[in-house]
Amino acid sequence: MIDWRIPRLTMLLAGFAFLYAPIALLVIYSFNASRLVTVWAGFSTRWYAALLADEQMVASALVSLKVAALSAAIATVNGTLAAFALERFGRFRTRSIFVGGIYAPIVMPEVILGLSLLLLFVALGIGRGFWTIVAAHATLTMCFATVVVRARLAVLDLSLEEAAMDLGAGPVSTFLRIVLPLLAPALISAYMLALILSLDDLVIASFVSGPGSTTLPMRIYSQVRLGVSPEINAMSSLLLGVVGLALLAATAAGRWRRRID
Amino acid sequence: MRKGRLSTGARLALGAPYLWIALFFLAPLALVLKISLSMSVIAQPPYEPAFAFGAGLAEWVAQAQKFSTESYRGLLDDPLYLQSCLTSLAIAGVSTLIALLVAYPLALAIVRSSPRLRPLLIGLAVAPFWTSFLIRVYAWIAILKEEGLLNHALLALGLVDEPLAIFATNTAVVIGIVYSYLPFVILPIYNSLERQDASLREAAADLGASELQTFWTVTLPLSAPGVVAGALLMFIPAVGEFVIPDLLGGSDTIMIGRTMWNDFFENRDWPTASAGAIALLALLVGPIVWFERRQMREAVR
Amino acid sequence: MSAGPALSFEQVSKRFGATVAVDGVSIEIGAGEFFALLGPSGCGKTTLMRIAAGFETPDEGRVTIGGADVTARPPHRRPVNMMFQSYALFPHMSVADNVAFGLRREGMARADVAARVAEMIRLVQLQGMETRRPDQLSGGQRQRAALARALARRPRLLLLDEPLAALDRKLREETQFELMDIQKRLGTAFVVVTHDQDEAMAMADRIAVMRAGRIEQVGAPAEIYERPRSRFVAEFIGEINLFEGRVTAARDSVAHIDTAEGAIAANCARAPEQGARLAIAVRPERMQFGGGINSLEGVVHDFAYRGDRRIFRVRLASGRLVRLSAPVGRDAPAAGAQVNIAFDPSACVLLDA
Repeated sequence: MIDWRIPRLTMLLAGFAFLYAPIALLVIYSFNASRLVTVWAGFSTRWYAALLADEQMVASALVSLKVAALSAAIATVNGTLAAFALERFGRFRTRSIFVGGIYAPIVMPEVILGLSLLLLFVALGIGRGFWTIVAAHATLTMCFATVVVRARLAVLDLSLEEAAMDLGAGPVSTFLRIVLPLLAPALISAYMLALILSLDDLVIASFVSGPGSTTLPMRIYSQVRLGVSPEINAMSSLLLGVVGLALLAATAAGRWRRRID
Repeated sequence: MRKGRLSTGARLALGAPYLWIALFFLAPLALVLKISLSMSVIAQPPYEPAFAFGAGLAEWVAQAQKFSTESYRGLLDDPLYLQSCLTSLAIAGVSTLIALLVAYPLALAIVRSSPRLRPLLIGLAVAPFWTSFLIRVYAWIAILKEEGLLNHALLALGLVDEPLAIFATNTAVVIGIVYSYLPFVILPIYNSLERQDASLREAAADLGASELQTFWTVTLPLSAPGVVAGALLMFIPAVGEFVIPDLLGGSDTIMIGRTMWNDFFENRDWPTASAGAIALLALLVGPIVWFERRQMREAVR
Repeated sequence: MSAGPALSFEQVSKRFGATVAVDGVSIEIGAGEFFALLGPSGCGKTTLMRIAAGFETPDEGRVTIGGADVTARPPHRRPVNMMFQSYALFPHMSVADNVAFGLRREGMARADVAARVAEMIRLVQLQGMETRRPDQLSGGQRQRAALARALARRPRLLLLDEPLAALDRKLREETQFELMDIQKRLGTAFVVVTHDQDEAMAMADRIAVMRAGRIEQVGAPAEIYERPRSRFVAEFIGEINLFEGRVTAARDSVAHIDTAEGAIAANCARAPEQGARLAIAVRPERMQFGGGINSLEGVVHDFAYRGDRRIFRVRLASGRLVRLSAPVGRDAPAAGAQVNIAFDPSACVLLDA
């Protein structure tokens, strides 16, 4: 018997170092006093202060948050309905087109999705701005929401819905009283996933945004192209912190739910 | 309940996502196809509108005569597109291969850890996916730059005499892609490994197979679906990647996503960019269809 | 209230794609009857029950409940309730809320709901469990909760899908008696779907044996056991020995049949045609050691101990094995012993070969 403990531990350490070292360095250097991002010159929070004073950056962050909150809501509703159609309605005509339309954007290069949406908005004569980003993001993230909700629906015992109908609940009542409560954790996950994907998107937003609707990734991107700056490090660290906290909260909520169950 | 026709309620429920997909996904794709087949005329909008929305059928047919495959011929003649296409495939392919070589042992190490640690470890491996893609790519700039952290460290340790020129090369792009897409590859491999019944390995050992033989004859073949899924999940979007080559690559790292972006925003040559998009899509649809078929076959079995 | 049978199927058929799940079934189930649909998996019994509940629409035929045609009525508008095989208890609700679910859908007043829930909880003896969630209950308790929920609306007819399948053996027997007791007390018609013949035999007033979408035989348990009408029913219910042969003579109510094991005399209601090929079915407990009218020679192959009885396998001169069930006694032959076995003509049931 070979002892695999040492190689396994080495692999885990090396793997996680590769995954987390760049992020860690980024956060560490956001507290660097020097403007030179690669030379440590003592601890400082000056870049965080500078960041909050940067009105454009704050405005973009707000745009991003609004877009994300709205588009994720649309995506969750649409994705839930789509998941239902795929999981519960059996076969219907043009189902394969529907399935293709639902799943293709997951793997499709973002450039193509962004480009095609831009052409649509131009052809329809719709002015680009906040709402076009919302629509584009809702389209992208709806696919992911569908996947998440569908996975939960697939393991949800169909006889629960039948039992509700058997006990006199109509289709709407069954959905509201049985399906929705049981689906709630998946809906929350779907919304969170959609929210994060929207907050993260650069490419699609670049295609469909207009003047005055610059999202945070677009703003960061335009600065990053000019080189590494401590202010961006600070911005990134803040975003990482928010996501980290959200993940911790989600994990804790999951544990808590399992305990009360 | 399993019928060909749907009830009214079901129709209503299906209607919203269906319309959304039709309007914001299928219609735009049709439009891209349309524009890729129209003349390239520098104008605003930068394509000759081959037909107006809501135009009559007759006009549609008349316009159809003016369809042109010029953009596609241009695509083939333009060495830039062909070159960037090949570069994209090569970079995505190499990156996927490296990612598999990193992800598989890592996934295996996680699966073989104690059951209590497993959820935490796989959670940690996938967590970076939730953080901003842009930020994760950006983090590598500071590391790989000529006066960056990696070179600082290497010089300080005396491992190299002069800074390595990694930044702004294809190598940097490959590193960036592997890093960004690693969670996508780890997760399906982990899932397929985790589903494997531990008694299979015990049975193999009981029948006299060494640990290495067991791995090659039992563990690896059974995890093949996970490996294929992970590879496709990474390869396809990596081919069209724009952010990573733009930030980490050099001026000679011309990937197809970037070429299309440039054609669109800088050259304002929409028909050519559209033709590029359609060509890329056609190139990528093949593996997806193949994968779907494969999964269907597996589901049947 | 409308009169008529609690449930009736009239020429009901249902196809799924190319397979015919239910094929022209007609049955009537009386008010207050305990009825069992029995058959191997895939015989269409579950589909038939789902048609009664309204989860499947028949392609042909009519379904009536209490005399009213419900063929096109959706499940939530039918006066039947169902106990699901998985119990389908709502995991996010307490036991009491589960039981009250159907009552609240009826718009019953709050106080009446509480009273009915308490009554149902008492009926299934789940006092003290009202506030628990389904996953805090044992398997047996879940089964009771599901029963209480399904009975709360006082349906004319209760459908039970494999009600005992998820319970372990000991609990199963206990629950059988409880179900019978509750059914007698409420006078509700019960239709049980099961693949377990012992379960059906023990509980039901009448059994319908199904095979490939059709009803093979309907009758009281004893009738089905003693007088199976087809080889399928004979072999599906209990253990049986079958001898095939040709009729050599038939007079009065006795037929003589020539088989590979020798000539066998069998009682028959209607004399079969001479020369017809038939199968003779004999239950193991109707065979005994020793001489008699139908006497066959053989060697004891082995036996299995079953508490009060032993099941012997005896190899006949023709080479085939027959089963014989005998009470445990001191003079039982050992394995390898030369024996004579015999059975009375009245023990034989003639079936089409």
